[in-house]
This record gives sequence, C-alpha cells and structure tokens, in this order.
Amino acid sequence: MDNKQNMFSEAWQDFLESNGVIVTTVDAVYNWARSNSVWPMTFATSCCGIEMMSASAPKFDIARFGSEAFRATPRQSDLMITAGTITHKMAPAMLRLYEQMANPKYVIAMGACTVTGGMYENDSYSVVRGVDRIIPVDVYVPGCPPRPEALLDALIQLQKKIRTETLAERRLRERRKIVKVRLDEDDCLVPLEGATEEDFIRWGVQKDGYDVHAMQEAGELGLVRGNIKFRHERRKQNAR
Amino acid sequence: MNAENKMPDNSPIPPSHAPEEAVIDQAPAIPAGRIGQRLVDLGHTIEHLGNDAKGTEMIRLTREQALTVANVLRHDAECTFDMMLMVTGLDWKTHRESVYHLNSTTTFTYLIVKIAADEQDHSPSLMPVWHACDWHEREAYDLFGINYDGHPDLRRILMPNYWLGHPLRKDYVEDDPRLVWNRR
Repeated sequence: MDNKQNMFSEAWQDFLESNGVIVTTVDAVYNWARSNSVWPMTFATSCCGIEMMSASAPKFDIARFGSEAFRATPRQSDLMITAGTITHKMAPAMLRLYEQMANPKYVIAMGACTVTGGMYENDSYSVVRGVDRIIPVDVYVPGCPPRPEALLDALIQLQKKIRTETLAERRLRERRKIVKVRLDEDDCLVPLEGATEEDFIRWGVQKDGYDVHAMQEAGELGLVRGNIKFRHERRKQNAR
Repeated sequence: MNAENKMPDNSPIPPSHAPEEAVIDQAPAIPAGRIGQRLVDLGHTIEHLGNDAKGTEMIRLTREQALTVANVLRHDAECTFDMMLMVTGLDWKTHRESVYHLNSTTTFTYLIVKIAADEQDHSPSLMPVWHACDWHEREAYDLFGINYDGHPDLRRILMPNYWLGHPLRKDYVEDDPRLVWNRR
C-alpha cells in the first residue's frame, strides 16, 4: 500500500495539523477499535504460561475483552505477554520477536521474574533481571504466577492506556520506546554505544517509578493527554 | 516473671563429642560390596566407598581403568548395568569429580561410580559404553568445566555459546563486561 494513501501516516498527519485540522473523532473510533481487539502473541517461557492459557480458557475467557486471538507469529500480534522467566539464552529470541512485531505494539510483563527477576534476582547467573532492561514494558503484573484475573486486569489497564492515546501522542510514545541493547556477532546482547547503566533501569519499577524521565520530558513539552498546548502552539506558529 | 521461676544454671557442662584423632586414623577399611567384590574377583583393583544413605553401593575408579571397568559393569553377567541414569558434577575446590548413577534393568540394583578429574579437569568420557552420557557429560562440562576426553561433541548445552566460565564452580564470578546491562 502506498504510504501517502495511509490516513494515519506521519506525513499525512503533519499535513493535517499544519493546516489546522485536528482529528478527534477519528481518534476515538480508531482507539475503540484497537483497544477491543488486542491480539496477544503465543509466547510463554515457563509457569506463567499456564495461567495465560487458563485466562484464555472458557472459565476466565479472555475473549470477553477481545483478546482471544492468540497469534503464533509476531507479525500479526499487537501485544507480547512475557509469561515466564527470561534467561540469557532466551533474551535474544525475545528481542527478535519484539522487533518483528508491527507498530503499535505493547508489552505486558507477567510475573515476578519478568518484572524484576523475582526470586532469581539476587544470585542467579542466567536470568535477566526484568524484561524492562531489554524492551519497554507497558503494564506490570506481579505475582508468582499471577492469577488469570490479574492478567485480565492488566489487559483492561492496557486497553485504558490505548484509549488515552491520540494519533500524535502515539507516534511520540513509539519514538520513546527505544531498545538499548543490540545483538553482537555471538548472539550476545550487548549495550548500544553511548548507553549508560542508568538506561537499563530507566523503564520500570527498579528506579523512581514508572518511566519518570520520559514523562517529565513529555510534561515539559506539554504533550501529555489533556493538554492542548501542543496543537495550540503549532496552530499559532502556522498562523504566523 | 520473677527470678525464682528461672531455671537454675547449675547443670554440668556436656562433654565434648569430638572423636579422638586416633579413632580417625585407625578407621577400618571399608569392605567391598557385592559389585565391588565381583570386580575384585575379575582382577580390577578399585576403591570401595561403602554404601550411601539409601544402601546404594559406591565405588571410585581411576581415570586409566574407567573405560575398562565401565565395559565390565555393563556387559558382565553379574553386573549388567545397562542403564546410565545421570551424571553429577562435583567441585571439591582442589579438583572436580564426576559421579555416574547406574541402574540394572534386569536385577533392579543401583550403583554409584565416582571418577575424579585431574588437575587440568580432564576425565575420560564413558559415552562409548553408555550413549546416554552424551548430554549429561555436556551438561557437566557446561556447568563445571570438566573436559571429557573422547566425547565426540563436547560443547555447551544449557548456557549460551558466548558464555565465559562455568557457573556452578565454587570460584565462579560473573564479570562479563558485555552483560553490564544485567548488573544488579
């Protein structure tokens, strides 16, 4: 498909906003459709996967929230539920799967192991201490393993998060979701050039709460939801 | 609580239960078990280690005789240990040791065979005798660094290929500079 024909492409939105057009109703309809059909990926690495299967089974019935379509390929899925311990051997595969998913993509860190490393955090040589060191996480679900209700609650929180996005903010959020590691020739995850140690504990609960720096940046620029300063200023600039 | 309810502290000091050194020096030689006696009868000089807590007989082999005795253990009519259950690695800080747990599917008896590795962590592979040693010895190599001579495919099985060191050793320190992003 030609990118210029795409209604949601960046160039088209920039053109609209520079001419004083705001898309609000489109946002609402678009988010309503997106948030009610979040398709998760079939990706479970250990015991949390059992609870994930249970959540998709008839007793808890994740289909009530539109997420019953577990896709076996990252190309067709919107959501990655990291259900289970991520080891150093699994981490490259997880990063590859995340990068193969199409935008917009979301991550739910399910279980204590993927939130902070869990009971492997202290002395383990093989476990990644939280998937937020590798990929950006949207919703954290603690528990060992969490009940299916907790996973459903996390899905509802994610749906709320999707509904608060506008098209412009969504682009901004996706730009903020940067992976700070890369694969070297040995299939080993190494830090990107210029990345400091703080970058790997920036995303999540391990330092100062949720995504503090990015939220501060967004707040300073006036880009958070409910503040129309962004478009207002753009319109004033264009009027000049 | 007043002072009268306290227990009087006039009980005699219990005698020390530490055994005298002479007793340790004069420990009797461990008698050979059924399998050990059979190996001795066949002309193999082995070290008998007695039984473990569950009554399983234990023997220790030298690296030179390991393959020969393993062949006897598998094919002899009174031993018939045709099943290798698992290989355990041990780190004694001075040396490393492999422990083979054997089972006989005809007589339903178990046997534990210990083989100590040399200073360079070399130990003979028993894969020519029991093919099940393949992955088990790879695991012991991966986590303890015991090099099994004669193993056809000795490479890591649990840890990634790029990993440095052998994690279950006592002196293992995780200091890979590439994995700085996972520091605690």
